[in-house]
Order: sequence, then C-alpha cells, then structure tokens
Amino acid sequence: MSTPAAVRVTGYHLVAFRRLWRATFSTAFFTPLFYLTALGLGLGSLIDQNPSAGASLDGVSYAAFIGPGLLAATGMSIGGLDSTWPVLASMKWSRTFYAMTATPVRAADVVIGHMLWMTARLFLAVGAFAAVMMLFADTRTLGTWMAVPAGVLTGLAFAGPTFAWACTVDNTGTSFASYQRFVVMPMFLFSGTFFSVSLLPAPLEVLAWLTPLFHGVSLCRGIALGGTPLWQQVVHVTFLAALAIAGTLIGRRTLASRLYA
Amino acid sequence: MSDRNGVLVEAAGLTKRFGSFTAVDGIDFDVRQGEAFGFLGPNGAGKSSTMRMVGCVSPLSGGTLRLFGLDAATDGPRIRARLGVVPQQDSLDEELTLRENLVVYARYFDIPRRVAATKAVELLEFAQLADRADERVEPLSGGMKRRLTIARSLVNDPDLLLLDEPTTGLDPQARHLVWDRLYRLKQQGTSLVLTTHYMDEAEQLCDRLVVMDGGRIVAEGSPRELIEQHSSREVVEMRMPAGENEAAAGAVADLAERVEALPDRVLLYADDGDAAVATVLQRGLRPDALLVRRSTLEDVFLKLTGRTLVD
Repeated sequence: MSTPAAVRVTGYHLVAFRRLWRATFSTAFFTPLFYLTALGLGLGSLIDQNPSAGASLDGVSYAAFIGPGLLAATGMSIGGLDSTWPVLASMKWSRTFYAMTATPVRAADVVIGHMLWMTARLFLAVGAFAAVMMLFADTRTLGTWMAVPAGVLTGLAFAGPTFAWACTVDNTGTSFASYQRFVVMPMFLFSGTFFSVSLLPAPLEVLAWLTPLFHGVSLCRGIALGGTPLWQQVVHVTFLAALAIAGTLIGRRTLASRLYA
Repeated sequence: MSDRNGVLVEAAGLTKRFGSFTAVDGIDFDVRQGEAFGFLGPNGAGKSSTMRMVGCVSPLSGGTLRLFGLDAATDGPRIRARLGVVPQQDSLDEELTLRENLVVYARYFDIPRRVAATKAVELLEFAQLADRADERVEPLSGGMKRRLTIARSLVNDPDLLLLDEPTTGLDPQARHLVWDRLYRLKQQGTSLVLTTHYMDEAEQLCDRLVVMDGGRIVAEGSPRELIEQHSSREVVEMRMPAGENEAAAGAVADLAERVEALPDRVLLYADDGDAAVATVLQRGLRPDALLVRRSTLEDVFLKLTGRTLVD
C-alpha cells in the first residue's frame, strides 16, 4: 500500500516537530491563561457590570464572549506564523524543500503536505487552548470543544494564502514583520475577537466582514454559544474553506516557480 | 537498469535560458551504465544548470533529455525515483539527527520505515559516521556533512548518482575522504555524473568527461585522451621577475609547441620538459622559479578557451 507523496511530506513535519514541541509548550499553556484571566476575568468584571453590555455580547459574560474569539485567533496566529518563517527557511537556509523535490515528491505534494501538517498542528494548538479554557467556569462548556474544528479551519484559511505568499518572499524575512504588524494585529483587534464588529463605524464594519478572522470568530462563537442561523454558518465555512483551498492552489504555483527555476 | 543498450542519459540540443541569458547552449552528451561521467568547467559554465535539468528539477528551454529511456519533461517523478542527488548546497535538516535525516529522506521515496532504518545504519557505516548516528547534524564539519549527503543520496539504491561540485568548499583531507567514498561506489558499479571545476577531481574520478565553457561543450573524451589531443606531454612553468613575462615568452617561443603567457607565469608546452629547461637557461633567462610537470586538464582548458579553470 503506497503512501501518497503529500503524506510523506507530512511525515517529515511530524518528525521535525518531535524536536520542537517542548518549545511551544509553555506558550501554548500561558497564552490562553493570560488572555482569559486578564481580559476575560479582569476586564470582564468591569464589562459585565454594565447592564447594556449584554446586548452586544450575545447575552453571555465577557469571558464567554471572547473565549471562542480567542480560539479562532489562535488558529490565525499558528496558521499564519507557521506558514511564514518555516517556509522561507525551507527554501533559503535549510533548503528542505529542495531536498524533498529532488525525490519523486513534487512541489504540489510539498504544499498539500504542509496543509495536512498544519491541520494536525492546529488541532493540537486550538485543542490545547480549549483545554486551558476548561479552567474557567464561563468557558467550561461542550460548546468550547465543538468550536475547535472551526478554529482549525480558521487557521487553514490563513495557512494556505500565507504559504503561497511566503514562497515569493526573497528577503531575509523582513516582510513577515510587516505581515504581523499590518495584517495579523489589526485583524486580531478589530475582527470581532474582543467586541462585536457591529460597534465599528459602518465602513469599517464592512471591511471587517471581508477579513478571514471575522468569519473564523463568528463561526467559533456561533458554534460555542449557539443561536446563529445555519445560513450564516455556511457562509463562514465557505469563506474560510475557499481561502484555504485557493491558497493551496496558488501555493502550488508559487512554490513550483521558486523550486523549478 | 537502463533501457537502451546501456545508455542511462541521452541529451540532445539541451538548452537552458534565464530570460535573455543562455546558461546552457544546445549541448549533446550521453552517460553510459557503469561509468563516471564528468562536466569540467569554470564557475558560470552552465554545469549546475545542466545538472538541475538532468535531475528533472529544472524545465528545459530547448532540446531533449531522456533518462532510463524516459522523457525528463513528462516522467520527472519516475526518473527521480531512480536518481541519487548530491546538490551543490547542502540541504540537510540540521535540527534532526544523522539517522533521522536518512530515514526521513528514505520516506520521500516511500521506502518502508523498517527498511529505511536498516539502510540508514548501512549508509552511516559507509560514510564513516556511524558513531554519530544519533547526534544532531548541526555541529558536523563541512566534510562530514558532505559525506552524510552522499550517504543520503544512496538511500533509494539509485541507478545513477548526480553530484554537483561534491568537494567545493572542503579542506584537502575532507576532499580525499569524499573521493575515496566515491571511488568505492565506482568499484561497486554505481554510475556517476559529476560536475567540478577542479581538474584533479576530474582526472581522478572520471572515466569520460566533457569540458564546458560559456554554456557550450568545447571538448569531450577521457582525461587521458583530452590531454593527448590538446596538450603536450610535459609543461615547464616559469615565474619571471615582475613585468618580464611577455618578453620571456617571446624569447622561448621556438622551444615548444605552444607558449602561454599568464599574469603570473609563463607556460612552455613541450614533450621533453627537461630539455626545454636546459635551453631556456642556456639562453640566459633567469626565472625566479622553474618547474617541470605533466600536462593536466587545466592545460587542456587553457588551450581550448584561453582562460584558467579557476579565476
């Protein structure tokens, strides 16, 4: 029974991660702990005192509101970041992608192998976040766990396009700092993680609707808290899946033109 | 093994262009079963571009290329399954151990894990790195990393091994260790294609070679044939005091088949070097340094292109 080439690539990532997972452990534990404590409990205790806050918080406490948002944001963070530096390194420094494609493995297999790996990685990261959320009463729900796949999908919606873009980056990675500063950060703050986008002025709200994180956050929150119409969930899933797939297809092109010059 | 009378690689009119720059300009060559075939030329001759096309990772701009009877343009993955590749720039995973590097690479060929593990042990023995099997690659010296890369390239029992400048950047001792390993492979019947700009490497390892310059093949044959055809048996090297090279060259022109005035020395190509030296001294020339040696491929290259292999 032959293993598809893309899965062989994923096998490499699994072996490499065996060496790296310990380094990710403390971040994976403390990040959710800090956010949920400082914002969920700390800031939340102020917000929840405001009787009119409930309306824009979907009727739950602030901690329960931001929890699912943070799940989606974790997806964005891991999916995006793991598709920047490691990709550049695999072309410029370790040249791992060149090693792979000297064998029967093709560029397309490298991209799909990356996305398969990201799926596993994201389940681990988003799952770990959900596990920490169990420490807080407001998020200790079945809904939190049900939202994990949505968080993974959010991450893939970032991983695909980011990978495709990273294949075209030719500097030492200075573009990635801009990516963090001008793409990831604004989305993190304004796409609904911490407050409903309906609170934004109309033009900015429309802009927010176009961001992948908005759809990720809305999907996760809708699943975790319930009450969102099905058609909206379908829109969110379609939007995210389309980005993940488009990114993968474009990534096949950009990686191939880099590797097969 | 090969699918056409022992010919593993057939290239006709092979061309590679990058925009308006032609790196490989319509070359023809073939590589036969069991031989060590070389591309000798200076940096920029088009050797690496040729190797990448042969390795089926660079699309041809023109011409045809067949390996094992298969078309490089359409059967890339099938051909690469039977190739071993030692690239010019290392592509080892420095964070993994030596053993892990070999097993991971074997997996790309869909070699079962258990078989890969056994292969890894054998190959580490071959590379004389078995005692470091479970250490990370990062601290290894350049020569050790190159030996590991060669070991890695053998993991799929390739029909043909491609080596792009296998000893560039290595110190003399590491170079000899690598040559020794390659020589052993040759003895075992592995077919090799290698590129180099070192004439000693070409002379030692290659059964047949082509000399490349500016994207073209300027000569072809065994090292000995090339030297016999394009150079004399012996060469006298004279280093004159500064500024006297040209004059000295003129003064001894009739003594040899050919005289070359290089920036730092004068070369006299004659079949009997000692006799030529005697006459040079009789004529009153007083070089700072004088030596007699056999002709090398470097001399062949100089004759054919007017330049040295290493700038």
